[in-house]
Amino acid sequence: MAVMSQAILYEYLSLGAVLFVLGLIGFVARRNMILIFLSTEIMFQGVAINLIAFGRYWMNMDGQSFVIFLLTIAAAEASLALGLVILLFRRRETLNVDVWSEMQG
Amino acid sequence: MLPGLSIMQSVALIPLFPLLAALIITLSGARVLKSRSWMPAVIGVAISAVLALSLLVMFQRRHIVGVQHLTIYHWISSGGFSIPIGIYVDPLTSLFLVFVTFVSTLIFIYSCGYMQGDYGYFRFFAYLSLFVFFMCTLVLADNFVLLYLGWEGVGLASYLLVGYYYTKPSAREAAKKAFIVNRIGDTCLAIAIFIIYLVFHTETFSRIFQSSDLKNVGFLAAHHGTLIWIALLLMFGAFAKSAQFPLHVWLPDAMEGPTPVSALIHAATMVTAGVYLIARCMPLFTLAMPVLHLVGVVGCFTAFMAATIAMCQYDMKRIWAYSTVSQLGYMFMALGVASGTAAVFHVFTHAFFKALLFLSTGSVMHAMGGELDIRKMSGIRKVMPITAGCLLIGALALSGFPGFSGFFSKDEILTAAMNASWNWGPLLSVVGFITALITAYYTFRVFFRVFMGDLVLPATAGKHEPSAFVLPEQARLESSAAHGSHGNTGHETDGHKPSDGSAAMWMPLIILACGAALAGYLGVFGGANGGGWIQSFLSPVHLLNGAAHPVVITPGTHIPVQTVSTVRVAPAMLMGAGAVLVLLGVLVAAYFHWANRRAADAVGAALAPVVKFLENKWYIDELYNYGIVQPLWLFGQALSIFDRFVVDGVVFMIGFFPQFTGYVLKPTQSGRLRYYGIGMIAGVAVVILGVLYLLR
Repeated sequence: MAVMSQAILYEYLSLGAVLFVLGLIGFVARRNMILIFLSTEIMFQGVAINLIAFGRYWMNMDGQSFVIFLLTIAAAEASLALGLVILLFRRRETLNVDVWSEMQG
Repeated sequence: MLPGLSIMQSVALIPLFPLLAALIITLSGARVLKSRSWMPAVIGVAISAVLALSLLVMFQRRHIVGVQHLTIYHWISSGGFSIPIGIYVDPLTSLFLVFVTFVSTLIFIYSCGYMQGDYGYFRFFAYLSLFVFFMCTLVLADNFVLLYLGWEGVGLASYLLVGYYYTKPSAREAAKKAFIVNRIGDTCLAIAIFIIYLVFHTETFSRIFQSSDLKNVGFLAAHHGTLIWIALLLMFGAFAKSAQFPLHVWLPDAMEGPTPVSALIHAATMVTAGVYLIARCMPLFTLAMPVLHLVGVVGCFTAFMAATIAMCQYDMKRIWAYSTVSQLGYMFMALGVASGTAAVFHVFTHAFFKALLFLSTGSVMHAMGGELDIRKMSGIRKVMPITAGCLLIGALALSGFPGFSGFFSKDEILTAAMNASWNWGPLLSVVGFITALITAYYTFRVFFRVFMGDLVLPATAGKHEPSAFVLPEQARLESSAAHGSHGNTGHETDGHKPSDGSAAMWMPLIILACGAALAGYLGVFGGANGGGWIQSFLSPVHLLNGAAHPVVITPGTHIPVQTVSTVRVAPAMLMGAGAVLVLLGVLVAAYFHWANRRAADAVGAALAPVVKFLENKWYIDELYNYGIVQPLWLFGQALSIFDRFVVDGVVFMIGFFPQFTGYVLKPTQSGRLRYYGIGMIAGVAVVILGVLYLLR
């Protein structure tokens, strides 16, 4: 396997950062609960790409094995979060997250 | 005495039998023993009485001589400081033990009948047994700390028993008053004990009293002031316990307790603990003559004051209470002229006749449905002849009628005072004679009013004494009875004819009456050299009657301490004068309160201001109220204001700070998910920028 050059690593890292920031903006700006959830998933993927890029750059398996765990956890989280979203939807018949503001002080 | 035990070991068991009884009753009284709760108490104290009596016989037959000690174990021990649990037995201890346990036994038996059916029957006997335990500990102690334990213990028992009818506000108040006034004396006693340790480096009686320091001129000169303070503080301790002016105020109120308690604790035994203390510490008091003289003067004044108050009271128990204060005054007068023998002799006779008077009064109270006002009854000898006879003997003994016990013991005190080497002695003696006249008057005022003349019974006579306990069920029962058609249901219907009561009640009266009549002869006959038995029995007690030789304190300063150095008036003359005064008092009482009661009212009306002054007990309670209680109350109010505004203010300030912070930060919690998200991102950004800045 050929060694990855530093310039290519930067490109991958830029991609991860772009994905992460996109997810972040989506998380803050969106109101639909499912889309907010998807935004967080995008942030996850940004992080995962970074890890894999570093793993490839240093020529070891650490990054990849991390990412496998990360994906597993993300999948488990997704099933839980979707269940919660459905529960919340049944309560108020809407996916708008602003309806839920009971935490107000 | 007991098989397998030495004499001293048996003596050490004397206090333990009542303690055992108290424990048994406490543990099983409520559920198992119930109305048989008297059994352990009576058995326990009777065994103690037998042991105490055999100890007395041992001393009499000279099987044991002088002072005996037994150290049971080391109680407190810290470095050089060591307090043993030990007993100190000499004739004085032995005499006190005998009359304490003997009178207790009789009063316990009386209580079986008297307290029958009362709520908390077992509690009463548990307290009473506990009292006997502490009293025996007090007189057996061989050091000041153990004595203090007994001293506090009898105070506790007294408090519990005065407040026995704890649902009654007046009983609660009286219990608190007794406890608080006694606390003043207890504190003085405690301080005296501390100083004794500082001076003598020990608390054990024998080491202090027999110490060579007390004969060492240099030591005495160096510690003269300290010894005065010790004696003064011991004196205040004794004054509080033995109800001497100005600390006498608790004793008349203590009559709120059941009558057997008044008889045992507040007349016969506990209140003589002060006399015991001073008699025991006579070796210290003879080195502080000004204090001993103060004891005599205060005793004399108290005797006179209490006797005058007793003339104008109407409640029988209250009259006997003031009479007790007055008789205790006589005892302190005897101590003041360094005649411990006379004081102890009077303690001994007084125990019999005052217990008798109280118990007879209890029988009257029982028969009259709780009524004790001498204005509301008359001529009741016709319905209760035995009680009348016993009370008459008690009255004769108290007033010092020739031939009865009080006559001999009072005469001994007055003779000792008259012929004391101290120049004020005769003055005390004269006041004592006047007091004897007053005593005869007030004693027979009660007897003639209540027992002689036409039969008049109070409305409550023959009914069961309304229980002093107001329990919820009973209160309901009584109110329903009041609304009923007859207003006379429940326990009031099973009334009885006023009578002497059961045998458990009148048998002890008769035994006490024999004691009250005859105990005085122990002070005239049966001793060595033609003297009385008591005098020769007590003669081995160390320095009971002061030092035999003058003690030199500093060169040129002599403290002459001799019991009878001069014979100013022949004892026979004094005896004759005493007899005449008593007869005069009895005759005056007979005229005003039997033959011609209207005359008494006329004299009373003529002397209205004096009568009012005496009825109000010299306004001493009022003085206490305005002098001490009210200022203390105001001080308490001031402290309460300080607490409310200053202390509470600081606490509220501390509580206010986080509350205010929370109020300021409250709007940041909007409840919107996105703002939390932004907050989180901003936080992470700050952390990252911070880290980058630091790692740059």
